[in-house]
Amino acid sequence: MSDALQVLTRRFGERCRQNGEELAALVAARDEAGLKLLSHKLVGAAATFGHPGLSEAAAAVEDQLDLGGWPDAAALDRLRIQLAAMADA
Amino acid sequence: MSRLSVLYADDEPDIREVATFALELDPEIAVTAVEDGAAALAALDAGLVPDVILLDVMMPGMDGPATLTRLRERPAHERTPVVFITARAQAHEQERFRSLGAVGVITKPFDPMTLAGRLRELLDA
Repeated sequence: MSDALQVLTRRFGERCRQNGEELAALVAARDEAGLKLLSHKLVGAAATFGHPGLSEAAAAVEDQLDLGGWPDAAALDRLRIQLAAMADA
Repeated sequence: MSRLSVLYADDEPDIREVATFALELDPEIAVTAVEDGAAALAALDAGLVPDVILLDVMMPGMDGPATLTRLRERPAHERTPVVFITARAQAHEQERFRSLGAVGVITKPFDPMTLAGRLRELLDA
């Protein structure tokens, strides 16, 4: 991986802390549109930066939103944990 | 290889940066990256004349499809090729994007080392 790509990958990891805070706010506000946008972005971005666990956790949340319901606690917890792990890495 | 000016709109800063980096690995590609559809239209209003416009599908405010619709209302850009970039586009969604006038869809995750080639393939198809 080039130096530039390594920097971008590290920056993505650092931004996961902000994403975790955004997730908490969206869940507190029960903001479906905002959560859809965040989860969708994380599906693609996390996979692009080589974090399949985070991508899959975001996909599970997005899938439940696409089915018309608010994501269950397990899916939201999994996403929160994945984001926290990235932020602490 | 021909020179290619790319206008790219994506509200996700990490992806915007990595895609810009990846596209400009091709020395004949120059990218103007903006944060959303409205900024893309503003760049065109300011005189940018891209060879291709790359639009994220899901953006707050004006999303990719809405941006494409607005582009097609402008005589100067009614024929400018547009490529969508999105995570997990299903077949029927990809078909809808093409029916709107997009020449193709690039899905995330993308391989930074092959993104420029993928874009050129879509334009040559």
